[in-house]
Amino acid sequence: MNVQMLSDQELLGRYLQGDRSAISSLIEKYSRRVRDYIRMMVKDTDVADDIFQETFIKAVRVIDEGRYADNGKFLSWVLRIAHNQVIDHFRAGRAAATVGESSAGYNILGTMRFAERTVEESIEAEQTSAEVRALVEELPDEQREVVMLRYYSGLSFKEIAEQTGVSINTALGRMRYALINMRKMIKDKNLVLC
Amino acid sequence: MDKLDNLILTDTSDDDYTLLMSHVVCGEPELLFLDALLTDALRPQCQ
Repeated sequence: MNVQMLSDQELLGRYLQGDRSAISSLIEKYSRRVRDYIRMMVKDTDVADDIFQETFIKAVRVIDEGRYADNGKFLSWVLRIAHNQVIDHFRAGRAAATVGESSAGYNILGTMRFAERTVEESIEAEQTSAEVRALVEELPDEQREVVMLRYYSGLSFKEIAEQTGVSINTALGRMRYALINMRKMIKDKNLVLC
Repeated sequence: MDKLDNLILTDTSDDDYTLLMSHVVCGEPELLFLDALLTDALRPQCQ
C-alpha cells in the first residue's frame, strides 16, 4: 500500500509494530509545515534547522517511551513541541528575540502560553479542538464555508474556488480573513488553547 | 484579471501549500499554528 495513503494513526501503528520507515514517512508528511513554522518564529535558518531536529527527536522519543496518546492530533502535537523548543531557545537567550509584538499588536509569546502545558494531556487537546470548532461556527458564512471545505472536506484552494464560484484569489482571501478573525476571537475571549 | 487566476495550477499538495503560505499565512506564524489546529480539529476521524 502506498504509505502516502495511510493516516497518521496507521503510520504510528506500523512504526510501533517495528516498521521504522513509517515514522520517516510521518515526519516527512509534516516536515515542511513544522519547519516553516519554526523558521517564521526564529527567522534564522540554521537555528530553525537545529530546533526542527530537536523537535522530532523529542517527538519520536515520546512515542518510543509509550507516552504519546494518539487522538488524531499528531500535527498540532508536534507543533506544540516545536513551539516549546522555540520558547526554550528564546529563554536561553541564544539569539536576540525576533518575535515579540506580532502584527496584531500583542505579545505572541504571552498569548500562546498554551505551549507550556503538558503535551500528553489528551483531554486538553480534545478541549482545544472543541473550542476551535466553536470558533469556526462564529465565523461569517463565507469564511466558515472555505474553512470547512478545506479542513473537513480536504479540498484544494483551486477546488474550493471552483465549488464556491469565486476566484482563487477570493478563496485565499476568505481563508486568510478566517484565520485572522479566529486569532482575534481567541484574543478577545482570552482563550488558552492547548 | 487577477494574476492568481492565470496560474496553471495542479492539484499537488505542494502547490496548494505554496498558496497557503504565500497568500494566507503571509509569514505570520500564529496563522500557521491556527492552520494546524484546524487541521486536527476538523479533519474527519478514521472510521
